[in-house]
Amino acid sequence: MFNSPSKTVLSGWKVLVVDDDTMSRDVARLMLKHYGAEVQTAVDGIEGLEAALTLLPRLILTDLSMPRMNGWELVEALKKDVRTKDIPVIALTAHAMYGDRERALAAGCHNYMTKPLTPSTFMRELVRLLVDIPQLKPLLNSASKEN
Amino acid sequence: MSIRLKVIGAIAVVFVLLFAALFISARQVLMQSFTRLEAEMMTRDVERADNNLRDELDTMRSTGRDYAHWDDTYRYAIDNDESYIATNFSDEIDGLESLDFDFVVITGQSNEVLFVRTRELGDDEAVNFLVEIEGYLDYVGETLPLEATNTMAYLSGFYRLGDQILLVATHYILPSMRTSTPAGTMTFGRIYNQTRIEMLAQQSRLNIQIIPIGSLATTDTTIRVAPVNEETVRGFRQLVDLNGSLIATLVIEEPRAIYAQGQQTINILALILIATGLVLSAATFLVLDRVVVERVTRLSQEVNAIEESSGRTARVTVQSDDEVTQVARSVNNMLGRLEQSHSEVTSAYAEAKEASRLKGEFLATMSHELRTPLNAIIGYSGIMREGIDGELDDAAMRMVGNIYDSSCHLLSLVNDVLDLSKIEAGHMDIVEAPYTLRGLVDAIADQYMILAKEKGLAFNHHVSDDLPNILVGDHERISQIVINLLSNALKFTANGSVTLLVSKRGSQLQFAVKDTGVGIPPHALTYIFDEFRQHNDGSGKPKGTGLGLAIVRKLAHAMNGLIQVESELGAGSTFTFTMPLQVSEENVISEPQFAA
Repeated sequence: MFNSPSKTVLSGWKVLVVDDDTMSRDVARLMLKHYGAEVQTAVDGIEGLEAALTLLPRLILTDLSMPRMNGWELVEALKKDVRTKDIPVIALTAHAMYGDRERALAAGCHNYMTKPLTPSTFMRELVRLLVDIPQLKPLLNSASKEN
Repeated sequence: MSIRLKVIGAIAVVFVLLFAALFISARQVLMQSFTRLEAEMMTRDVERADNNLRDELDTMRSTGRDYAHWDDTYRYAIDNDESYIATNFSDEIDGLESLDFDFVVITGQSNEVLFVRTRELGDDEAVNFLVEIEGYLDYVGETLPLEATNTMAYLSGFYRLGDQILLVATHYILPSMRTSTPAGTMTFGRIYNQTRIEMLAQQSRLNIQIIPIGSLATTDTTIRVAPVNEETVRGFRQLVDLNGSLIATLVIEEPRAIYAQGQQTINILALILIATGLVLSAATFLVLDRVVVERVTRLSQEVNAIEESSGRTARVTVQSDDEVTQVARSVNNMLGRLEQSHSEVTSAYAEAKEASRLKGEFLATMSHELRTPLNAIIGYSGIMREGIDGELDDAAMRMVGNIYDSSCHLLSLVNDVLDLSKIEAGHMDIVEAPYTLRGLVDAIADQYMILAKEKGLAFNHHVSDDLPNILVGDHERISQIVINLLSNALKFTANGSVTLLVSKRGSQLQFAVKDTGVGIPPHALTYIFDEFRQHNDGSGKPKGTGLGLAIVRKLAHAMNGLIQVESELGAGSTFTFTMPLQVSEENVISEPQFAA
């Protein structure tokens, strides 16, 4: 399922991408936008927290290693606020940083994805993760389902 | 066997040998001299008894001579006047008793018996005695003839009469002035019976026996001494009669007082030897124990304690100044050098470890730093290739595709280096947690279905029904291994299929990746799992770093697993990864986990 998600699978979604690397942010933004999402970006945890509170996105993708406030701290802060505590967060981790992933899950991330994000696999994986999230599954554009 | 036991044993052996040598030689010498002393004493006693016997004989002879050379007796021999008998030997006056003789015989001028009287015998018995004593009188007639010129001659000594031994003294009967020829002979005698022997014994205060002898060949009259048993010793002397024939043995028996004394002395000596020996042995042992054994034992204990505690600063106690102390000092010196070299080794090891850690850290940092720009290149070229941000013309599309492929390849190389450096730096933690087996396999299969399709290959996968769905293990590492094997299979297969089979092998979980690719020649099978080794398939262009299988093998080992390969050149290869099957006790997994 979702082998080739349709370009409208995320239409109507507000997605926040938090990453200190400009180009990583840009790549994520471009891909999410391609599938219909409205994307906002932040450069670190502090900015990300502010954006989350103002935007109240449906989904947050965050890098873990960032200056000022890192990904784990961001997730903790989000979980503490009643307005943001139910927003699913997916961590973006580097290859071979296994410990990072366990810590991310422990901090409250819903799941994680391994960088680099490539268009050929990114959306397929993302959708796979999203269908496991009960409150998000119905919001995926049904037209994307092929089978 | 401890030194203490050996010392005790040696002292005991020395003690026993010394005691035996001293005791045996002392016993020999002492018993010899005591026996000699005993013999001397016995000889003296036998001589004393013998002398008493001779004294008795002398007394008898002088008394006999007094009577025989007396005018009254001479007259009686001539005229046979009975008044002489009445005066001297009548029963009324107990003449024999007062002289303590048992018999008296007087013969006349023609050797006829004039008078015979025996003590305590009636006249009839006296006649019998006369018959019996006839032999002696014949002997007297022969040895003392009346026509003899030496009238002072006499017979005095033992004479055997039947079973009895007689003590006799016979003289010529002469007038007091001894001026005429003998008128006959006069014989006094004692029957040496048991009573006489007892009297002699009493007189000598000795236990005397006189045992008649039938006949003996020798006339050896020396005194001999022989012990009868442990308690009694005997002294002997042969007694000879007037003819010089042996007639009896004088036997003296005495308790072996001297011998017993000797025995007692030896016993006391033995006791003294034992006591002295024990005291000396104890003293020797105590001195040895103090000076050597105890200290060696303590040294040994201390060395043992140091060995067990592996304490590097501990030292053995050093006291006084001798060989044992020398050993203790040497031990301490060795311990000192050991401590020194240990600390050198430790610091060298720490340095090496730190260097290795820094190397690992450098590699990790560097590869991380390399990945950040790579991620951007892959991301952007991927977006361009997919036409997400606007369509490209064919030439640009081809170039972007090449950039994308090359950067993906570069990333996998960087990732391999990072993985290996992490494994070698010992930073590879195996995190065991429950996971869903089919979820893991499906995630991988979904991905490889597409990749295989892109390359025009068939991809099949199957999970055995006898495998439980929820297992325990590090699913990240398991995925990494399976993905690595599948990537290789895909890489080296030009047409045909790639198959992933997951099955249960006893208590093991097995992943088998099978391809219909180029295969691996037998000689290459031995090194394909080594680092930086890769089989060149002949195309001249290696694909990858050659680290993939090395990483896979190390990961497999870290999970107590095993990687094996079977291959036929030109027909394909089968890689199997086997690891212990751990079934989860939980039935449900709360969190989804797969992002292959």
